[in-house]
Amino acid sequence: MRADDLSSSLRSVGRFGRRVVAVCVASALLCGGAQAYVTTITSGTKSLYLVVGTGTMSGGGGTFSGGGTPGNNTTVNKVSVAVPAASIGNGTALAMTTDSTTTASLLDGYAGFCTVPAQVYVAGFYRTPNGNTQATLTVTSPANLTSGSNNLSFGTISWVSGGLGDAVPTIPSGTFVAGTTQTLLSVTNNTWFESCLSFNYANGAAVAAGTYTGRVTYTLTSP
Amino acid sequence: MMKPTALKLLLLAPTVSLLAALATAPAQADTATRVDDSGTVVSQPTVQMQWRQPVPGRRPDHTVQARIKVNVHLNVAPWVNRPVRLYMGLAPLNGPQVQASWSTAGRLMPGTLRSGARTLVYAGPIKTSTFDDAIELTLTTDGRALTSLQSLQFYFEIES
Repeated sequence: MRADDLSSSLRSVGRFGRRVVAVCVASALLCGGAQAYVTTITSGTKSLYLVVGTGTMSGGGGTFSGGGTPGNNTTVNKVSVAVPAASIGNGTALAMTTDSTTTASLLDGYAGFCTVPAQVYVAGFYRTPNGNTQATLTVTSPANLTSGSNNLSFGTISWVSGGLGDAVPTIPSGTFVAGTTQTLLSVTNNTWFESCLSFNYANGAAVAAGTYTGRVTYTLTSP
Repeated sequence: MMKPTALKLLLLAPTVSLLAALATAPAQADTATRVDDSGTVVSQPTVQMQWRQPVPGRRPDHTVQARIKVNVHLNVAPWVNRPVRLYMGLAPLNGPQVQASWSTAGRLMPGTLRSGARTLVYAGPIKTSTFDDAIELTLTTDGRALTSLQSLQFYFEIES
């Protein structure tokens, strides 16, 4: 009968339809399986390094690029000058010398970057996965160098920045602003910086005889 | 004055070239099918990216990198005795673009790709139901932008 034929036809379509659905389900299960191998990556580490004067580097030929490992060096290097009696307060600046012995770059051993005893090596880096942020190098000086009850303003000491091969010194030259914290440098993320600082005493005024001392502190701060 | 016949030939020349070009183009693009790589094993499900330079140099280098080994095991049974083009791909990321380069033990081709892209790693007939190789992946990206975990989903797909 026509009606049976139609019914049979519909059943056939129905069975075909179920087969199609079954194939799709199987396919979906296959697609939902592990059709991608996965590894998860995490960000790089954050680090901060600063050396002023003589640093400590173990192994690697004493350099970072050689694979050396930096250590904490607690030595506080000095710069000093003895003013001849005949020259006291004559307005002629006097170069100071340092007990720091560092001359080569701690990054790659670049020889003669600084000269001693004229210059103090200052270097470091800032590394972070957090965007284009910058660290800040500052120096804090007390108001005065002291000798007993006598004072000598830290503003009488200045520095000239340099370094072999540096057309423009990384750390700018300057003068201590007594009793303040001065910003010396914004340190770009993932970049090594280094300079050699030559200190000078202004010798602009007569002061009482004595040994005047004071300590400045260099600080590298990350955001 | 140019003869009319010669003028017609000059005008026809570009038309013939165009038809020739159309004739060499594939009639229909191949459909890529994902390959079952559930047997593939990654040496490190999670890997810490390392700065490419242990200490930054005088010029900035923001690249971080990591190396992982992957034992690739693909079920290619549906394509046995058929010529195929096998691609490895890396799904797009929401974070920084990641580049992967790899060396192989020889069955797959070495190559490079970026997230959101794929690269041909094999072209030829499939002779067995499984396809195995060992690859060493080097992953690199901009370390400044990689501030959180990123899940890298590599996949294989075949065009036949």
